Amino acid sequence: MLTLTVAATAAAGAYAMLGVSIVVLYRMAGVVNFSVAVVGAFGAYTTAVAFGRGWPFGAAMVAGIVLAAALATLTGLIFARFFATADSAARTAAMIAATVGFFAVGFRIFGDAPRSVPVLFPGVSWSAGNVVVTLSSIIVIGAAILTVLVMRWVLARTRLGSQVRAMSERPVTAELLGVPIYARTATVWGFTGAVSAFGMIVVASNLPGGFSSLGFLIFPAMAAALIGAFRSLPLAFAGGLVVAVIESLSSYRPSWAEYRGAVPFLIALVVLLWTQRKQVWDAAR
Amino acid sequence: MRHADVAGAAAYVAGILLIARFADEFWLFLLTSALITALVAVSVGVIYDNAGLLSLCQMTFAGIGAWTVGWLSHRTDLPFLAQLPLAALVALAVGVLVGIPALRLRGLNLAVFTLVFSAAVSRVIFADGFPGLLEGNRVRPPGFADGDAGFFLLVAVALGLVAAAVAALRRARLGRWWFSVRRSERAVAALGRSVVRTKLSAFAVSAAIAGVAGGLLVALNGVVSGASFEPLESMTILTAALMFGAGHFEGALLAGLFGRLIPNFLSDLGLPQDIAPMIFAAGGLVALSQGEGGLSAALRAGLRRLRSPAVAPEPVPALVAPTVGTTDATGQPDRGSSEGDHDVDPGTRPAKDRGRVSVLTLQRISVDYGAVRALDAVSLDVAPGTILGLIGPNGAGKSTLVDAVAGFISSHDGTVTLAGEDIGRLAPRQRARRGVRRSFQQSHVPLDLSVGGYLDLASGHSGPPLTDALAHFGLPPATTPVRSLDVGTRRILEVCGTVVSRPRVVLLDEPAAGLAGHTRERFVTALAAIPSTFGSSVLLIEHDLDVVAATCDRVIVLNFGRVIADGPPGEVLTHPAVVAAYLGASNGGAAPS
Repeated sequence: MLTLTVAATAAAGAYAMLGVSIVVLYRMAGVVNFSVAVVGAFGAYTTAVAFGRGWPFGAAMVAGIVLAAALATLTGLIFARFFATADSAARTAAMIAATVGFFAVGFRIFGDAPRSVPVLFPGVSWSAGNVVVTLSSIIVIGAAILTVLVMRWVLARTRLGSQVRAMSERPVTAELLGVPIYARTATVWGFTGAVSAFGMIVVASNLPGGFSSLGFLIFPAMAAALIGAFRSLPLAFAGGLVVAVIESLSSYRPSWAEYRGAVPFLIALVVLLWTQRKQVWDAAR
Repeated sequence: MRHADVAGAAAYVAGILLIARFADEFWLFLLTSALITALVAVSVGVIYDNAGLLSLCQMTFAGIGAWTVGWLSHRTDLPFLAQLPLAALVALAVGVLVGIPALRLRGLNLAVFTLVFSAAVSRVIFADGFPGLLEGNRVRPPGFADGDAGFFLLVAVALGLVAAAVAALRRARLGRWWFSVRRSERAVAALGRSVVRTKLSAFAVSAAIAGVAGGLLVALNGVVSGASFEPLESMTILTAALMFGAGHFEGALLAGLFGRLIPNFLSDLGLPQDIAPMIFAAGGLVALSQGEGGLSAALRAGLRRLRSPAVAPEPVPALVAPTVGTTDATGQPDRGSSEGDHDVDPGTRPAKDRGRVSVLTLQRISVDYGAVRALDAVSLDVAPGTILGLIGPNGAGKSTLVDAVAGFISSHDGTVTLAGEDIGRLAPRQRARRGVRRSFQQSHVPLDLSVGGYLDLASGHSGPPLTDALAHFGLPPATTPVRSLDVGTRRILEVCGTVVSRPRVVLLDEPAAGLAGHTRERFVTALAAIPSTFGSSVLLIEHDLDVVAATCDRVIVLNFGRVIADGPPGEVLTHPAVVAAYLGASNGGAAPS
């Protein structure tokens, strides 16, 4: 019988939201966003600090989301300005450098000791069998589903969607066609920064550890994005849930618990072995 | 450059000796750990700067090396100097296992996979502690290097040896393949080389180097904890390596020095040490935005400009055999044997596959891209020793046909037969080895190689007479760096690369595009002489009808994926359907002049 604790359902929501954010940004900006979790951690800790100084929760949360969105937008503008035409290895390398910078700044500001993040809806939870779900987990999972639906619609049906897809594939051509590169970049990066911060703020109180633990949610989030092959939003969402469920299986036996940290790796291994049955070539002739 | 290498090595040795003689205990420890970090940076240089792949687990490999050395000194009596190679071997083996699933596909898989791999090892294996740690067993360096200065010298020698080995590898075939795979995977496969093996070898070598660094680190500290090998450590050292450009030794050395010294300077200034990664992040971003190679590449470029405003070409070295031989009389590829090579007047050279009606036969090749039919039952023969022109308007399917013949389109209908053998199911590199070589519309020649270095890769293992091939195409001397060539010359070099292995067939995709004036005339003459000089038959895609008329024995015209004309150039180029396809249907009467 499946047992899902409060922490497991909170993790499921966070992984799904982050995984979806990674795929959205990859499809819209052509960058693997290794910083999505650490930027979300900025949002969560900003909220915690503001709340600790007596701000009302709503205002603290808005401050956290706005800060995360601003950091993500800043990153996006740097990429649009300096790395629009760089090759994929250089873009990924630049993303790693930015992520290292975010971690360093985060440690400097917040330290790495665990902080209590305010609980959005204390005590509101339901249990069915061995599954315990809090209202905040449901809100995050629901927000992730909403993000999937809205983004699918935006990508497929709207002018914004075609513009950003054009930008990610042929940045120079898109600019020549009059796509407002910087405005669109700010929109896309700001949006993913905001939704991932929202997800992390809402469930942070149920997740263990300090600033780095929140930033390291990038591991399960990357496994989720890989399940979606960096293309499919619904699969990335489902991937987040799958990673969380398999992780929670490790609580069955004490001897399994130490392998919990290997779950994203094992999932990535299975996904890669499954997807690479035939060779694929780069587009350039 | 060789003088600079010698000067650099001398400066390294002198600096090391001075430090070992004069530095105190504190500085020796700091600088030893800096050299170990430099060793990890060298491993980043191999995987990122040479092979163009991003690995986020180099410190994990170092941790595996440290774990191995810890286990060996805890459980065995093996001397430390024997433990180090074993640490390298274990890291290398793990590198191969991790690389196999991640490297078969292209793109970002390696970065993502190595990230989750390093998290898993850090949390599952390293979190339990290293062997001997709980028992208080310290790893001891060998007796002759037990003092601070002695161990510093040992690490410096290890770093120097690894750097020299890596420099030698970069000049060897394997290293040149790494540069090639960074430039284009397709081009590597088109030269008959396995892309996966090439990437895997770079990853495994870099893992082994990092493994040695980990072994040295545990001997420096006596004990280590998992904190040194966490995923964030790998990312930070990668960032420092990007900033300083670890593709060159001085860049790796600077990355190691600053990686360890900056935190120290910061605390001397009363600033927190954890600002250091912010500096690397900013520096890495600036370096990446300036192009390849980081600070060390910029330094080298500046030095070159200072020394020689105008680059003087170096003299041509004599490279092996004196003649451009042809094929042997049996029609077999003459690679690896020189018996069949004999000097024959160019006009009467026997072509490879003489006696066959066709060396390359395509039967009813069809390719669909979704709803678009790019090729519709195209059949053609390339006769031995001839040049077959393939022309047609943009979008007619010409390049798709080349892709299908070379093996880059995984599913197509119809058969591809090379000298009687069905090659339609083979991978690109297998087709290349059987004698189908191709060029690309855009040059994929790696910029980091020399002209001769590239042609040596392209020619396979027989060492054919490169100087004559260079002369045939009017290319600059073999020692010329590809980077210094103009775009047109790079394209000619790529064409030269397709024929130096004397393949049965070469597929040339618009080789004369962008060439002008004298260069173009000379190239067209060289092109026309490929069958007689190299024994290869040619399938030539070309837009320029003058080039087609001057070189081709026969011309096939494609339009919307179908053959609309086939015959001698004189007839085909004035064929009404061809004229209509090029000039529009309503202008059918106007023949091209």
